[in-house]
Amino acid sequence: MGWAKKMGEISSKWIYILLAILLVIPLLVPIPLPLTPSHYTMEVYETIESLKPGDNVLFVIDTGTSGWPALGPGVIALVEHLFRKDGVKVFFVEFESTSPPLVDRAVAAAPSASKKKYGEDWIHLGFVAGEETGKASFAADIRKVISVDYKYGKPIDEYPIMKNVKNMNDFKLIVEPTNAITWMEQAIRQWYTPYHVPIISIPPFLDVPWAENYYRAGQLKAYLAGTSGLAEYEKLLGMYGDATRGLAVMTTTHTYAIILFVIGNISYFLSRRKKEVK
Amino acid sequence: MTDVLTLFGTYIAIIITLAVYSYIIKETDLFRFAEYSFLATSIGWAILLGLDTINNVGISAISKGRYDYIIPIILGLLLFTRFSGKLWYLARYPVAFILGVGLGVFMRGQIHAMFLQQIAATVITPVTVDSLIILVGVLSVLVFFYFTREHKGALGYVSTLGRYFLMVGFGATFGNTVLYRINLAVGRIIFILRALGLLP
Amino acid sequence: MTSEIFKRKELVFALIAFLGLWLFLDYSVVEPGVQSVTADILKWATLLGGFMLIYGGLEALRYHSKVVYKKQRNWYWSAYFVAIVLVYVFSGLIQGSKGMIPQWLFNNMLDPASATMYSILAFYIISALYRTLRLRSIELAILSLVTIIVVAANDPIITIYVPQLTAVRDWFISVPNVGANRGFVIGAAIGAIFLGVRVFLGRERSLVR
Repeated sequence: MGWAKKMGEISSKWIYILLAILLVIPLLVPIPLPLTPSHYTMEVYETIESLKPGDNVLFVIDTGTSGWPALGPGVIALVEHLFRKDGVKVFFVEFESTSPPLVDRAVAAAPSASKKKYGEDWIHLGFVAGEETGKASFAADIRKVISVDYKYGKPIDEYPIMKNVKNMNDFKLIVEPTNAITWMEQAIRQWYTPYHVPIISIPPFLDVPWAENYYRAGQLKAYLAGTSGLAEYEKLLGMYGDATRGLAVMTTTHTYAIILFVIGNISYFLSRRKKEVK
Repeated sequence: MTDVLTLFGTYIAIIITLAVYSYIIKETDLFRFAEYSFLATSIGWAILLGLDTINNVGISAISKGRYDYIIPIILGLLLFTRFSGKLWYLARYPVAFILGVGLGVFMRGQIHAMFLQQIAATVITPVTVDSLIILVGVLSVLVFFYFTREHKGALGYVSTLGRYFLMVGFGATFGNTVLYRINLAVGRIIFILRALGLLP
Repeated sequence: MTSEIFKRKELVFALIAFLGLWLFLDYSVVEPGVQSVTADILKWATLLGGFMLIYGGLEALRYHSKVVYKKQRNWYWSAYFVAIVLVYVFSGLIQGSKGMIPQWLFNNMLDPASATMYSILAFYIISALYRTLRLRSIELAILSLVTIIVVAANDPIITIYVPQLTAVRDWFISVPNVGANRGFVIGAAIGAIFLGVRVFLGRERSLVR
């Protein structure tokens, strides 16, 4: 049964080539898939829907350029949803060093951004160094770490939106998409625990099991889980974004992964049985 | 001119993307071009951000009359004594400052958020089958990480149970890692197809 | 004589312990004077974070400049590295970090390279799934089966025909996984707390070279 052993020793080259094909084809030939928003997605949606005019939302883009390909569509959807809410003020800030230019990218892709006025409805505060220390410092007094906005480099006090905003107590909600669970843990330690401002997040999908723990403990209000979570959110907003576009790729690649797993284990058991018989 | 630069930039971005993927086949000079481009631009960007931070946080405070901010600037400059042969020990002080502040900030959050609140979430909860399973999981994993005594007898069985719970956690993480990494690849492929005009 | 005093590690440990304790105790002290000082200390640390970014960059520049100077192996790549860093920094100083050249370098070099570096793991993870996930022992069997359930539940086509898989995945993630995860987090917190106490008491000598 040499074929049993060969089944478990397929060359990596062929595995990669087939994977590459399965990544590209569904993007060129879209396959519509049904979507039913899960309770995780609905919780995020309803949290933002419950915001009232005058509420301040701190939007912390900590995805970095490395996490943007996967999380970017969700960030754009959340920005769009917030911009659709009349009177809700959005404050963008970053603690991950490659994130500042991503704000412009997210805002440019959100259709409702054109109805919003910079400095009155939203502001980009920029990057704060120091990671967790920076978060603690920002929460205690914003003006101690940010003196000018990122977009125009003007003193932040010249913008009407900053009038009654001094520290974390002035925010109703924190939205923090991140590319590592450590960023979310820092926010829980430095923002949620002392100031009790609820946090919604898009964790990197591999950290969803960790995010679930904080969600169950009540430290995380809600989160979007996985590609389907992002695609469901786009559907709720009536958007056709990259998360929906990429959903079909999950079908081909995940089915491929399962087939490989089955083949590998069949080969293992058949080869082992042959060794025992000998 | 701007359009030419933008187009040229897009092609560079596509080349860099494909160059990184070429590592799967073999490490070539094309991959090294992408690798060194990444490293260099990360370092350049980090230096600019650092300068912006010093300007916005430090220099702006001093210009408003807060002369006490000269102290952290001097501390920061002491970092560069690392490059000198004789005065290298002075670089310990800014590092100690950051370490001390970071530790204090981390510890205060850690005790409340990662210890007390997690324990509270485990025990102050309605008694259901699921909450009991979670409690058993927490206790057995804690026993698994208790290395002061040898895991024999009853301790061994509980530790083994803890190991099984950890395997469930790792399995869930691994399964979601497949999803995440593939999504990252999808994002990059969408970029290339869009740049080539094959996607809207 | 003064330099001998500053060379002593005890001063360094004392500074770490003092600042750490101040920040730690500030959490429980609602006293405006104390909190104002704490806010300034935090701001100083943020400012020092900026210096750290620059220091790290200069350290990398120093290393690669040495490689170029001594014409060591692959020195031409180091020369490319130094050139790009200098172009980035000087154009940023002249035009600002949002200037044309820094933004061009960010959008067309840093962003694609950074994004693609992480995505390359997609290929390796599929290969790892094929080669290493075997039902060889109880632990591996649990790991493998939970992995495959999660992978299958993340597959939209499979969940159309087997919708119960989503509930099974969600149960694994929200019950046994939370048990494991919480144990992990609490255990790590205990370790971190003890490490912090050791640092506050000046007993953790490995922190300072």
